[in-house]
Amino acid sequence: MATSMVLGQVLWDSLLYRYRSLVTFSGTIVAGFELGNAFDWRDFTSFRVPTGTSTISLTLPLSLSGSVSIDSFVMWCVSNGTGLNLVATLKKNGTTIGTVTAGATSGITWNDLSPSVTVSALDVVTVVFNNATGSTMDIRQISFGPKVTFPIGQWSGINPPTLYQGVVVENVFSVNGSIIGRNIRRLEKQGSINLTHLAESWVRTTWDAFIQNVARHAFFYRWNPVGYPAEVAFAAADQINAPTNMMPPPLMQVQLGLKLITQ
Amino acid sequence: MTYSALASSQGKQAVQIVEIAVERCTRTYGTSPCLAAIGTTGSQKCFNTLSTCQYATAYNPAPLIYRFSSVRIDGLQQPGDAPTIPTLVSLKTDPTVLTPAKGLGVRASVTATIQDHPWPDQFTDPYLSTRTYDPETQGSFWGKWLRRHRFYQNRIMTIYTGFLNEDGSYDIANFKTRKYIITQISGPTISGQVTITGKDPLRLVDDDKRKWPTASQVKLATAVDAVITTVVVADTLDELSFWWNQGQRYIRLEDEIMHATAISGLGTGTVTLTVTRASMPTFYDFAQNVAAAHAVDVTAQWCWTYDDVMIYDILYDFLSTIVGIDTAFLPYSEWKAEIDANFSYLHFSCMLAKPAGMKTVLQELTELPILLWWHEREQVIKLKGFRFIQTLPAQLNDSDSIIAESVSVTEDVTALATESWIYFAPTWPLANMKQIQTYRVIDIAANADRESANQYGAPYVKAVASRWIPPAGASLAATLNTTNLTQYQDVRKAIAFTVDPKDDNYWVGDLVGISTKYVQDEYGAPAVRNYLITQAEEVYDNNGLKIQLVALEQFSYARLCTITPPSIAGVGSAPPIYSLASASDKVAFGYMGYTSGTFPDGAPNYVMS
Repeated sequence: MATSMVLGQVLWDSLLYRYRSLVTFSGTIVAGFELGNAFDWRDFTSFRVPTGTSTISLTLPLSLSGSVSIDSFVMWCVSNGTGLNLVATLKKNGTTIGTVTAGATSGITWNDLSPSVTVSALDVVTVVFNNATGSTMDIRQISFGPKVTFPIGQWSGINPPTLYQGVVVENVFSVNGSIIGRNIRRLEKQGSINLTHLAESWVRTTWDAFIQNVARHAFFYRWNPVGYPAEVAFAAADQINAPTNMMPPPLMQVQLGLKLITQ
Repeated sequence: MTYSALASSQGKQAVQIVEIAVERCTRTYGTSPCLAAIGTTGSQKCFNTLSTCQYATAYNPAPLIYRFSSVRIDGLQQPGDAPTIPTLVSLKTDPTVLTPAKGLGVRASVTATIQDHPWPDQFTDPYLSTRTYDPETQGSFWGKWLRRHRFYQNRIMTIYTGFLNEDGSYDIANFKTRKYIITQISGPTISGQVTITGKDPLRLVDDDKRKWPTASQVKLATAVDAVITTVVVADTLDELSFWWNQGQRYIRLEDEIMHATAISGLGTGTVTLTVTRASMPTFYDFAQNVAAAHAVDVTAQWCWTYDDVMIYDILYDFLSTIVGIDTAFLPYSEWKAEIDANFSYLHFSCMLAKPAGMKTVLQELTELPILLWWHEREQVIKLKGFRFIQTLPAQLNDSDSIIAESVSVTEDVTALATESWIYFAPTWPLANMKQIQTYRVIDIAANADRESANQYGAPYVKAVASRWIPPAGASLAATLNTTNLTQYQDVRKAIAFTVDPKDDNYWVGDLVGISTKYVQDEYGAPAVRNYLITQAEEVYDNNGLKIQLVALEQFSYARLCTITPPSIAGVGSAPPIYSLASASDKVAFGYMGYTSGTFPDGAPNYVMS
């Protein structure tokens, strides 16, 4: 059991999505599995990586003021009946800054970049895929950018998203009382982010920007980066409650209901 | 694992998929042969759909499938497909309702409710990179789709219902397929939903959709008197080529029907017919048809005739040639085998001399003991007659089929008929077919006992007028009347009940033996009766799939036999013992049964006759 405070993390600010109109790809596109599906924040579309080496390129626009710190590189891959063997290498101006190797089965892999890398206008960020096996490799989402680590822990109410979730079971009885069938309905994975005793300034800057984004888009959520760093969920806001003040002032509390998908 | 194996398994999760088949152009905007150009034919590029096409002469459609599912499904989308979008909120099917001897019944329909959502136009816009706006933030999936695919009506909508494998993977073998014709897409509503409505292909025969023969635009080019046998007509649309090549020979000028014996000039715009004046098929009253003079520009209405044609040939001609239903939906060989084997008397004669609604005409045929319906699962139009057989075993029963508290039993008193009347032999094809004085003959079958004071105490009459039975069809009318009376002279039970998907092999049109304690014999035991399934519907609630059935009791009889001699003339050997006997042996010969009332295979004992 964890004895210290668990600080959850989210990655919502994807540079690929933010500058999606500037993204290019070197390989062959499969109709229906277009490149844009890889960073559209949707769980039902996917991008098919061709065999061999191919590259996603993003040249950051001149209009980018200041710099952006990239500290996370997340990839959600789908197995199509064959073991995955896809290596994605993140580079800044040709220099490797991070690598994600997809696991043997479908799932989300979150790679922390340490140290983080700062990029600014006209920098070229690339993701180089090496699909050596020639198997069909689909990427549901790929994202890199600055993660948000919550400043306060959440002691209870967390639903570890990779655990077996709720199921509604209905037994079907015949007129004479025999069980003749059973239907099940898997409940959606749900969770919530409940943070209390937050500094007012953090809520007004970091949280508010996050919430404005998640009202429209999904994001990646890691509930326990220390104890269970592999338990990453693709999350979508279910209910966003307004932040409120709490005692003692000027502390604040926030609450966000979630739908969670792990694969 | 197969559909049936998953349906029978404990802990199955039901899934639904809706497929919409539309078209998308294979051309590239501005590349020959597409000569569209921004600034000339439009301000922006098209979306490779006909609704947005700017150079229609080069439009070259190819099939495009959109899929919507009730859950996210991996592995269904193939290269070239649109993503499978998990926005299917609900799927409601209104099943085919068979109304035996009461007409075509109710067409099957389906309503799919789908959630609208923002959409970045990946895949759906072939020129996405050239747009000057952000499609993610402009409009919604369905708002854009409906504008880009305005001509969705009468496209095929396919419904897949079934189960995912236990690991959540998709396998087409685990799904049942049903096809419908899209009739309407409504929305998006204020709640952001669209509803897609589809009906079964027999919808295409609806009166407002199809009339036959179509109103002719052939006109008399030269006036004719009451005698001349050469008729010259202007046929600018070349209607007469199809008519003549289909073997049709009758044509009508005003109230005179003529028989064409020769033709020339087909396809030239001016056609010359050699005719026999005031001539009709022999099954009509010639006194009605009088040769007369006709002026220039009088419409020459080509007629459509069936002269002693089997029911399956008439229906195939109607549905394929006239209505244009895909022949894959019309199992002609199956129809022919069923009718030839059991109802070889179902041959009819009729001339359609003025445009008639196809639905009306089919309705008249199915008011006779003929069943015609769309089988959603087999994706074919089925044709059957009324056939009465000996009582079946209890294939569906209270022990292992019928779900508790799902049974509802009613008596179908509206169908009761102690007398069956068929008016037939109409005077001629231009008469009002709804008036009984149009018909020259009536056949009546009646059960006087049922009408006696000790039984129902009054006559219950089922009367039908049929333009399809000629004067020579008296025996046909008598046979049809007998069939009607056999089925409807007693009040029949109608049972509505629900079964688990493991029993979903019974569907509309099937004859099935049902035993339930809610229908008892005079001793209080569950009575086994034959029932015709008239409705079948898959119902999804929050907990999964069930099958709701409605079945109508059919006349059936006990297992009759005659005493068979120890050796059979012409065969020379005794019938085999029961356990070795074939099904036909068991029909032909009687066997001594057990005191339990059944044989070891569960079949009931015979009744001596």
